[in-house]
Amino acid sequence: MKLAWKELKYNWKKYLLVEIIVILMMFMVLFLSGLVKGLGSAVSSGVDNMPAETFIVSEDAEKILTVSSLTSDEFATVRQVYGKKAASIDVQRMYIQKDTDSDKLDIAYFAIDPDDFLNPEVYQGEKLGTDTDAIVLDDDFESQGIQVGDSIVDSASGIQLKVVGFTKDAMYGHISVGYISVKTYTSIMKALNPMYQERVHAAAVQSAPGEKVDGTKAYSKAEIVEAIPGYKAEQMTITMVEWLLVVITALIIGIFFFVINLQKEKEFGVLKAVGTSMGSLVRMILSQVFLIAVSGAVLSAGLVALMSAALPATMPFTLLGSQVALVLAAFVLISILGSLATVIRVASIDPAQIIGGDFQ
Amino acid sequence: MTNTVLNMKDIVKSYRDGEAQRTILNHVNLTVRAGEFVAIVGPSGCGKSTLLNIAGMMLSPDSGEIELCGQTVSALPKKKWTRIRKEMIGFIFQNHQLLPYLKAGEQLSVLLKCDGQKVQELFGELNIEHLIDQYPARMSGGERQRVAIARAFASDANLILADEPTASLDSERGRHAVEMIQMEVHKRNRAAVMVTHDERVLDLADKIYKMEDGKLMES
Repeated sequence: MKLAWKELKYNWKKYLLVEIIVILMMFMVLFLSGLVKGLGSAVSSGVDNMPAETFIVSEDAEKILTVSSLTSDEFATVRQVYGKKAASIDVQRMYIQKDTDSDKLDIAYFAIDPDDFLNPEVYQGEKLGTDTDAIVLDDDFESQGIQVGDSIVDSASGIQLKVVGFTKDAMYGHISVGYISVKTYTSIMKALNPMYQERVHAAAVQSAPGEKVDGTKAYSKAEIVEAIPGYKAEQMTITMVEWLLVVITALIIGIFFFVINLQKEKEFGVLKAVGTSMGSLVRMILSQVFLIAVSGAVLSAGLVALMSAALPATMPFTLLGSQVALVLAAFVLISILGSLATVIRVASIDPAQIIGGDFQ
Repeated sequence: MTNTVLNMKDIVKSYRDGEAQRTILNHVNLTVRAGEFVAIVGPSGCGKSTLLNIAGMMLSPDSGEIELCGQTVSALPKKKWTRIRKEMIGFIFQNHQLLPYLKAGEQLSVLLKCDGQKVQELFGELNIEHLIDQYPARMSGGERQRVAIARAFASDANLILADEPTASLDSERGRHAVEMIQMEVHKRNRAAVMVTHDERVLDLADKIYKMEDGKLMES
């Protein structure tokens, strides 16, 4: 152990280079990890943060809220089964404008009954009330220059909506959410299509699935989130890149150590000749790898935390402690596994070569 | 009655050299007592290094027996050899072979767990106290070899094996290094075997063997 530390200290330039590479690579990995979580919540936070456990959608909806459609009868039956624990939800992608001349902004309307449990908490302004044409917006719109009290226009229908409050973390498929009442929603839809018949997209339920209602299917929140278009594809791709990088970084450490120790064969020969056991040589190599990997992991985590604090709020970046810890632990483990190649190599060094001058 | 430290009996070692079987050591016997400084000379390739490797528990003979301090070590499994090297044998290599990342004192204390007092004492005897806190890279060749000599005597090993200790030194420094070995061997009552082709230092040895064609002869 002492030997390992002295060697690191003496050859610090060499090991510093390795360390810098490790820090940079792990920084990249953690950055991706933050991005994958951030993108995930940009797609799903509107659904994720609903205080519901189960969603009931129509049978043919493929778990997608915007596709699902429950008739009034079906929803009435759902209400009978779950009582007040079930609430209706409509999800509709539309556009709004600050005023009739300005650019269109994407919005996902979440139409709810303001008396139900789905009514979101606001951090500014007031909660959605029963007033018609009121809207509670995701805080993303605040950074677009919209304020509480402003009137915005639904582009398609031209209906004016009054901003009453802002809520946080409400996104659906990369689009910021606006909460409106079912009444407002119906009036928008009627303005677009006079034949519009009142119906709801889906029902959110605060309990586990109960008695099945004909024509509907119940799914857990996680299943609904995963089915949001784009969610799975994004998560899978970035997660794969992330883990690939973890493995590559760990292998790079392994290769560096292999090469560094290749140059030290003579020293290992001497150590063996003067009676250093293979056990302590293994400990020496592993403790060096462990030290480099762990310090690289800690430093890169610190760097990412710093950067996360400096990033603008609109950037989809969320660092999850448990996720970071998992990635770093896996990295340290794979690094140590990778250094076993070095151990095997060192084990094969024959101390007898040191006498007679084979090593010069 | 005298303390025999190393006793090699009837050692045979041969290598396959292409088609032929080349006998490097042909029924060699060697006995070294405590306080005795033995030198082995011979042309290169005569088997000196092989003999030293076998005595140093790094190579096994084809046949024959090795006793170290009365213990038959040649019968022990290879796994135990490392321990024996650590506890019973001190090595002085060609080209010193100090570890570049340890200071002179640490070569003894960290590597061989030698206590500080003994390090001081050894360095004092070899006239290198001022080097204790220096890295090998900053020493001269002669100084390095003296640190290597100190390292060989640092453990309580009874047998000292020296492989061409003068090889990388000029004649004056080489002679000085061998004088140091001789002094420590006599003072600490150790047994030492030195392999060399440097005839000028042979007068310092108590006994000189000549090695030729795998045979060891006293001269």
